[in-house]
Amino acid sequence: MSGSRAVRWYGRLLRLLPRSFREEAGAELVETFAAAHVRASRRGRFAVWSLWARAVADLVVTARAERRQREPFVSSRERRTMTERLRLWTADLRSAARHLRSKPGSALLAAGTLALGLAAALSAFVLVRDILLEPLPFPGPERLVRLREQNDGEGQRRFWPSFPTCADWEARATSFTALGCASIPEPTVVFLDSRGVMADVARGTAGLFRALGVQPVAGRLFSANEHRAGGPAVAVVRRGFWQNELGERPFETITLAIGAERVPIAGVLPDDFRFLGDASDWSRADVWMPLERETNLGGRQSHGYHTVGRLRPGIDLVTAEHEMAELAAVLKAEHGEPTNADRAELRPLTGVVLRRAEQPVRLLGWAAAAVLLVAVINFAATLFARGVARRHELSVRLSLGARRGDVARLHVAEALVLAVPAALAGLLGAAAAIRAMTAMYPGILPRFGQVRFDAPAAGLGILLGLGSATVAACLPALLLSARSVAGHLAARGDAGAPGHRYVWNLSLAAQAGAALVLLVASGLLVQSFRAALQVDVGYRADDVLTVAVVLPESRYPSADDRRAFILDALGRLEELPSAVAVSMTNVLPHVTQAMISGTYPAGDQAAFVFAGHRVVTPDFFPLLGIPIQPGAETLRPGSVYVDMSLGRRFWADRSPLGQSIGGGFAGRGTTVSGVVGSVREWNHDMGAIGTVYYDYRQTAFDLDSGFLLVRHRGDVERAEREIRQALSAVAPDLPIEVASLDRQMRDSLADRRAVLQLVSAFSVIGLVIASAGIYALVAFSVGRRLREAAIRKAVGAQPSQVALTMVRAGVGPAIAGVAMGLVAWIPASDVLRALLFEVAPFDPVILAAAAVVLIAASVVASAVPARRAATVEPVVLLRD
Amino acid sequence: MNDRSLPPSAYAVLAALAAGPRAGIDVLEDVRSTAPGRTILGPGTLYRVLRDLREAGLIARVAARPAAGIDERQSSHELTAAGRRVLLAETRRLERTVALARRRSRRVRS
Repeated sequence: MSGSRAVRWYGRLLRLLPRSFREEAGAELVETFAAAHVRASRRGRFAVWSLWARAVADLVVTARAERRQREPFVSSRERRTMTERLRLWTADLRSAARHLRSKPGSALLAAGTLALGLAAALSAFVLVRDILLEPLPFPGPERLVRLREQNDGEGQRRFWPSFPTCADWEARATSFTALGCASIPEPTVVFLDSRGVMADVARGTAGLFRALGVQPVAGRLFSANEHRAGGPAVAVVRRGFWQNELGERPFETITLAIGAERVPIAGVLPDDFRFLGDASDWSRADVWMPLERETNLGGRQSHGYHTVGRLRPGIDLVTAEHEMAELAAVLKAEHGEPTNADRAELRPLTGVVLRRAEQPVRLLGWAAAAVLLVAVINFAATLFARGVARRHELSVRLSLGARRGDVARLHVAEALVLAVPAALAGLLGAAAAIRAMTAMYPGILPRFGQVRFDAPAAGLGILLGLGSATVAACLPALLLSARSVAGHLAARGDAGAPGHRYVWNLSLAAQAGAALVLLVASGLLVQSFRAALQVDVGYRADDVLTVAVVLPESRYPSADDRRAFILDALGRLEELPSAVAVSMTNVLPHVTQAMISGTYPAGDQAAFVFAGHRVVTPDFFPLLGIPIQPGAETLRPGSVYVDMSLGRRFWADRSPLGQSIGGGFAGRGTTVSGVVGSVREWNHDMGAIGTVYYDYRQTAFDLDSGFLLVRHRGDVERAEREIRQALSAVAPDLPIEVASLDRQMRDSLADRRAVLQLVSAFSVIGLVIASAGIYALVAFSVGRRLREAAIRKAVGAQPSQVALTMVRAGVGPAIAGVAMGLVAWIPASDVLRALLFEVAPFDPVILAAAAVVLIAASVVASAVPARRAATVEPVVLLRD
Repeated sequence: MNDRSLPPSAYAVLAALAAGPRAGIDVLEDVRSTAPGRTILGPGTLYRVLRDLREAGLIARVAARPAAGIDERQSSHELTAAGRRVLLAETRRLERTVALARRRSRRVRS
């Protein structure tokens, strides 16, 4: 800021001082400040800022001191004692309570809207705190980083590390105090005695447990001997799994059958121990085993292990990434195998875990802030209106020697009397809302289940309530205590004090603006959700039941046994009376993330893309209504089908038929003998991912888990019963999970739906508060303008004309608010953008609809009190 | 003001003027570098102290002093004879207080 501008600003600030003092000393103060500013700017920016800070504090202190010195009455010049102040406050609080009782309607409305706003803000605060801000449940979580292999080739693609790479990193990287990797938890049938139990089994290296710093709640973790190739079988289990599924028997005595092995239990892990799972979500395994002892962990291009490291103190991400790049070069030279690891990508683990939660939770936070804003403005406007109604009383108080502060205290007291019950109601509301949310949407976002309404949140609620009340009380306190005494007493104004009208016009407009922003946000989310539901996923999921099958090695030791079971089961299902078609697949159609491998046109390995690889029976396509392009031959051994998106990607306009494709189960090259329609994952914005299909019957695939699909006719429950009977005849001790495909697809939209419902709830609350505010202020203004209405009617105005005048007082500001809200939407839309699906953030239809809803609400809210003005009897009123 | 004890801020201002007439800004900087000056935040608070001292007859305004490096419009303040007496008396009182405090704290230590 230049010197002359600074001096001008300082001159403006002098208005804080009483006028007489300003006139007496102003010039000298400006002079001194100007000289000080010249010197400060020579010393640098910090000195200037500190000068400003001091100058403002100085003016505030001086203004107070001068005012105190010039109070007209001797009594007020002396400072009040604490007890005296306390007495004044109690008296004011009592008077406020009395005044509120005399007009309970508007008091209830004000307190109610504030409570709603507080409840919204508090619940959003708890969500933000417990989901985004709460550190991960590990010691020193800020030093944990997730590592991925990064390729220097085209696109700098990143991969989950392979086991050999991770093992090398674990042994050689020096930037970490510990580093290790884990396999994704896999649903497995675990046998306790002869009872089969479904459990998610994950495996981790020694470095993983050290890096995460996990401590067992009972027993021990794995020893070095167990963490080596060919080491003995041993497991630790999650506490909840131990309690619920293993009957809490002394864990030392339990031996589980997992696969073909008998596995003793060494310890119990805490229930909150989680790690990255499929699609990097925050998942919880029931059983952990050492990873190093496994055979067949894959080569350097088998990417499938989550890797995490704990940075050594004093080492930052950049330094560590640098070291890892050097290490990668050394490793590459040593092993001489093809690898994708030219360097390592490091990201804080917290960010990885919260990736999916960040956008929606932040959106909820902003929505709640908007609701609170509407509520506080509303509250302030209500207080202001009540203050205006008391103007006469306040003028008398001022003329009898009350200080400006005394009058301001009256307003604050009134605000507090309203805010305390509102804050308590808000607390209860927030606690109930949190409880309802966690019950309604379990596990939609990482850590959603851990959200708790607790004492600190309650404390914050009370502070927030008192704070909002104080802020809201500033408006009437400043505007209504400064008026001249004579002015108040002279103007027994009926027209609602024209000088004040701008205050509530502005407050109405601001409420309407914030409510509009909320409405637009929820409108866009509704539209996104509808768009997501209408996406053509490329297959028909109605009337299809899926049966999850997991074949334990202990019951089906060889690949032939497993194959025989699946073929047998398919045969039996085909004979069911309710079955229309039967097929199987290794991965369900809406889960494209699993079973993805690098896939390429044979001979051109560099052109690879990630594609899904599905093993199916040929009935899969007609069963799900996936079209097969003309010219396809039946699937043979050594031939595959590809979907259209992959065909187009690899061969553009040429026909994929007869081409050769490599990667995944296709090995170095398999002939494409058919092209089928693309299948799209529902809740995915990246569109269809290519897929390669293999025939299970024709090739020797060894699947130990998969899904049987049954398209049924008639009643679902009957079909389900038949399926269960048929399968339990084949395998009585296997857990059988039957589910509707349609339902599973809808569940994959659960997080989108939850965010939509929560934001919509907030926007409805915002709309209700804004409408209530409009209603209350128009009602108030009508009350004050009844004389005017009576006079108008007396001189011949129609009731409808009178009503229209009053309605205009409410609708006009609402329209201005809509315009303000539309402008505010321009920056606000950024928060929402990432959550939108096939709808533009400035969709004109939705913007228009939100504006119409809001204006309509304001018309209704104004029309109710306006009727009173229209029906007033002139004689009755003018007589008084 | 005479009948009350001198507030620390007033003492600091008197001390700042002891070396001769000074402009307000120099008093401000001088006072801010000594500890009791913390009560003097800026131009407003300084003005009030100067006004009180002037009304008590301890300082007086002097005409602008066209010296190099100082804005010519800046009016300066100087100690009156009474002001100098008060400053000396207060300084002596403080010295006695300090000496007393030293002696006592030494006795406590030994």
